[in-house]
Amino acid sequence: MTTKNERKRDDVFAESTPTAICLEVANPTNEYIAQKRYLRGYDVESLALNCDFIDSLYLNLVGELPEEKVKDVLNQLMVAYSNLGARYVGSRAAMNAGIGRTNISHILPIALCASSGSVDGSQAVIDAYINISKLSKADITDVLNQFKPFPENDLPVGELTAGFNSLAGNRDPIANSLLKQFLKCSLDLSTTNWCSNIQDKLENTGFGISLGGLFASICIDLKIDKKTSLVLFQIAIAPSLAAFGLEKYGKPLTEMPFLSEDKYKIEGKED
Amino acid sequence: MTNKALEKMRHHHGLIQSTKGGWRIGEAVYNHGFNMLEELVGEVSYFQLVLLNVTGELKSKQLCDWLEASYICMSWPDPRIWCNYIGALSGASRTTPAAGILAGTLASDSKMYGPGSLPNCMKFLKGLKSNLSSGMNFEEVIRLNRDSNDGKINIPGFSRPIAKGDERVGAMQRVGKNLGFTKGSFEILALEFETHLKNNHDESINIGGYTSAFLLDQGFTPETVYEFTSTRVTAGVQACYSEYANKAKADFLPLSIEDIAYTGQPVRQLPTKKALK
Repeated sequence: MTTKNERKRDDVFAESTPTAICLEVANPTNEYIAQKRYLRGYDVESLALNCDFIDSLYLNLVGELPEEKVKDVLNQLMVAYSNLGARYVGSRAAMNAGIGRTNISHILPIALCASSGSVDGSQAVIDAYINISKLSKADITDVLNQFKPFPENDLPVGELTAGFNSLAGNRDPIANSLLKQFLKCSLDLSTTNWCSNIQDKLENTGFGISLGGLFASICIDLKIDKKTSLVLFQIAIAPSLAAFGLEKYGKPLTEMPFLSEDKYKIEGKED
Repeated sequence: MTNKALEKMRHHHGLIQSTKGGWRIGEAVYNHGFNMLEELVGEVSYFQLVLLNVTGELKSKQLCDWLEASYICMSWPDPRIWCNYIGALSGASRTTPAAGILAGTLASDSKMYGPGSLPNCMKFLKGLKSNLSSGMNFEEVIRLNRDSNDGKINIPGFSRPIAKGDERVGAMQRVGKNLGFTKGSFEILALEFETHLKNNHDESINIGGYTSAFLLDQGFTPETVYEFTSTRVTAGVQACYSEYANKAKADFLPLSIEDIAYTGQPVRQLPTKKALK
């Protein structure tokens, strides 16, 4: 018999779960049925009739309906990230699950899990958010000096610092182009503008803003906190992950590559 | 100017090079040089296979039996525990077993408990050893921790939610002794630190701290431990899933409207479009 040395802490746990997000009003005769439901104080039926998805997304996550200018930028952001291509890690995971006839309910969570990492995934957004928030308060010259010297004879590999990277030796042209587009909007995007200034100074280094870095900088400018930014990124990419998974679901396994043995090298077992 | 990144990607294009193994159709399934179906199946334990797959080395049965026992310590059939709660909810709502059990297991990837807590425990113990070598004492290490945690002691591996003390530590010490292990330097250090904490701060080592010390003594890195312990709560989640998957539908801790305490905005009218401009 093990000696019982453990004892309870004096934690006082809540009797009910508090939430500021959703109010349900009970049916007068059955306390397990909601008669009305309010999201952040607004009747969900009125929201359904008068608002769009970005409104409800922002209301759920931030707590208020977005101002029109914020909504426009957020809408552009969500659309811009709604498909990161079939080669994106989450898309590949979704297609693999689809072609393997994984339970359809699992395709989206699988793809979101696979794309939750620090390389191009949702963790990359929060890493960039923290890094850019910190760096953008410092002098640009000092920031750039941290990264010098840049290699003179080799194009760069990977990440310069969270939010700025190189794709196979070059800056990401799509992230670069989106950055310029966002800076044309009517909101003051001071952090994104700072990222643009850094990017200008990185000309010819092969480094530029990453897609995660751009997403993070826009969220900083929209005053969306870092945890919410990560989740927004997941929601933004979700439509494409679902689409790629569903596209492959039910198709023959032969529709996607399965490497032949001459392309699958096992260390110590090669001819 | 060379582009090594591009060269590397082109070199790996359309090619998998594995140090682990793979299937040679009509020949064998290889695993780290072993013919898996002839040399491993029926010959090694499941936990020897797990460690082989993660570390590339066939570890002793003794060590893998210790690891298996530590998994049992982490898998309680109590649905009040956060990951198990998700298993029970999933069972009650007839989520598939794989989804419900993996959802619960995924929830244990937490910095508070479960496998997600072990890397921090191991880093703390390594830091503790290094701090003592550089002349600090236990109390100074604790003060450093308190200063970086808004005045509260929050030492990875040396406190626990809900309860003080951890019955699993004694159980694993017994397992280790029965398997013939002797205490290594990290285990000795961790237990000395616990004695100081108990005497001065009413806190003690938890299973994460003890497991971390033991595995550091076995030469593992935090990164490797995170990989091979990632599913260690699974059997507990399975128990809770199974119990509620076999009861009436939606019959796990039903919540009435009053079980949720609304603290948000009062009921209000939607603003006009103009107000949002």
